[in-house]
Amino acid sequence: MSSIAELSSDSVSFRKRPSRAHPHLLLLPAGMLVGLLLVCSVAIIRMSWGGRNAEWTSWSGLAYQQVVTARNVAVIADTIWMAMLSAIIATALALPIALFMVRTSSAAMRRFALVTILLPMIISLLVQSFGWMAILGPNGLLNQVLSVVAGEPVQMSLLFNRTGVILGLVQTTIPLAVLPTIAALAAIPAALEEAASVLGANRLRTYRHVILPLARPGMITGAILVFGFNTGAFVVPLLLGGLKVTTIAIVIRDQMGSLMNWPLGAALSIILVSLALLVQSLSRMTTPKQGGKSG
Amino acid sequence: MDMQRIILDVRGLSREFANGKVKAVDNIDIAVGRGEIVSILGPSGCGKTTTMRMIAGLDQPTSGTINLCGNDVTDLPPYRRNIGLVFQSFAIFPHMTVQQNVAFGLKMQRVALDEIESRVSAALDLVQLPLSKFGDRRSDELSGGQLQRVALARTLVTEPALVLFDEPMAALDRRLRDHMAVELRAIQKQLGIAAIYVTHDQETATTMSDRVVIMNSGRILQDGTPEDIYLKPADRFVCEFLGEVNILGIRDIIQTDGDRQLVRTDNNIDLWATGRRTHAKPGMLVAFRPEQALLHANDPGHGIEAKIESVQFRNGLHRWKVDISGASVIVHSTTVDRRIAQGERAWLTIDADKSRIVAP
Repeated sequence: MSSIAELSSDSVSFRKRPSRAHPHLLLLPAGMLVGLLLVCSVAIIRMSWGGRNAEWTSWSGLAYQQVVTARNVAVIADTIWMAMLSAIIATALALPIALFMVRTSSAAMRRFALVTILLPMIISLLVQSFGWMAILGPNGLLNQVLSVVAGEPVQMSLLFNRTGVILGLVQTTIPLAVLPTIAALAAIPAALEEAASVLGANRLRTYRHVILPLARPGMITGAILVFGFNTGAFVVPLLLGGLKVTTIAIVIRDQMGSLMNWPLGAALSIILVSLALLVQSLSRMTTPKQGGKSG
Repeated sequence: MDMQRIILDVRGLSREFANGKVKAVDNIDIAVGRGEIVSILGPSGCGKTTTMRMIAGLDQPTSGTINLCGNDVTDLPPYRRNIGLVFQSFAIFPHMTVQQNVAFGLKMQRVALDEIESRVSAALDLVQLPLSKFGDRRSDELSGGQLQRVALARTLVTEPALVLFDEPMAALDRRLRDHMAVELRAIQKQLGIAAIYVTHDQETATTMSDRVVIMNSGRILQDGTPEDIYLKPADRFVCEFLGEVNILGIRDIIQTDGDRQLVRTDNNIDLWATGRRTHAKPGMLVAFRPEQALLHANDPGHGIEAKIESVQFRNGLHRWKVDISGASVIVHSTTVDRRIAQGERAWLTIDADKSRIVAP
């Protein structure tokens, strides 16, 4: 008896300990990182309003004038378009994958699928892109297989153009779409689906009227993650686009690296970040009811 | 029950899991007539939920048939069965309003829009949630009792041939539960629908239903009116599941008179008892309820001598724990108008048709 009493009083004091010390100290490591990033962000903003080669000493709006030139606007539009397209495709592909993972009764299959899905996040983007080059190249795996199947030489060009880039973007970011969708699907009680079925809805109509509407917030979250990730895409378009596809990130690298135009690079960075924030806040507005409930 | 009135007829229904190693439901028969509520009562894991799910079509039987209104529905999917189901969790669609929830079944049946509107309104009136006030609310804006009313309206609006209730009161607090039980019973009688009520709560089961089916380990132990299963239990499990009971082992049969028998118990008491179907054999049990034995201060002539072990006064009833030849039994009723104190001698009588011979 006494040992149990001691044990329980011990665990109580253990639970109380953080409140007696200074819990905000726990935020210190993360706080330092966020602080550092904030300082850098302010530096980038300052840089974007500076003159070329005199970023800290002079003021100039030239960088933003350069942003709105036809070439840069086209690149921005192109980046948004590719990020959007890849987000839509990735989300559409994520749904059946997530459904399989939530529905399969075999734990081994579920684990296998999870590892397969998470693989892109573990392997370097560079390696994945080279992998795609080997598959999609003029004499790559895909064309060789197609040639064998068709019986005549096939030269499908999927590399160094937009199709290749979109393919790469979708493949490398699909985990970001799958994981929130799984979370959303797994949170739907089985009774809701059964209720729909008992009320006369066949499988298709159950999906349309119950499963999909309830999974939508998760799918939107996934789409936003993919979009946000791919607006900043650099390695994939560089390697799979072969200089024919340009994104904001590539222009920023060129301006900051080769051309030494730091203000323009900084201004484009700000555009990039604002874009991601804008989409994020737009999504909050379009999913009001359910977001409020889960929060 | 004549054939015309039978809504549900389940024959030889079985459900095995793990390749026949586990028999969740083992060869059961259940019939439900028009306007009848049948409770399936049993402890958790007795197979009652699996039975209900098979009737709804949410689970496939290993063998047996399910007939609904004369049609074999055993192989039909749930959405083709015309059976309603009120879930324990209510299963209200969280992304729809109350009105949309109730309209869902009608929408799936492709009922005309204006008819949907009037039927939804009528169904919500029936459960006392007026459309004008509650129609636009969502499930997170409703209380537990209101959620249940929505679930009920959503089920009844499609006019199913049979309604299944899966412990619909379990999520409600005691007071609300009693209130809803009365209301549910009234609505069911008013509409004359056939219903199966699955529960582990014997009190709701006996107060709500026309017939009670007691299940344990996948089998039906007894199927009868609430009075029948309480007063004439088939075996030890049934009598112990339905409230307090005193049980004594039978050692010998001394005399037989029709369905009555004078039996000698393990602790050498001779008493008359009545069997349900079988006659007593050594090893069977004799069981009587605490309120069915009478305690006397003076020997009435044929009483069993008893010694008061303890006495409690609860809910207006005395509750004596008495010792009869080494066995402790509980008694509620007495012929004396006073409290017989601890340690006093007393005599116990039990009517022959109230002490029951039951299977062990």
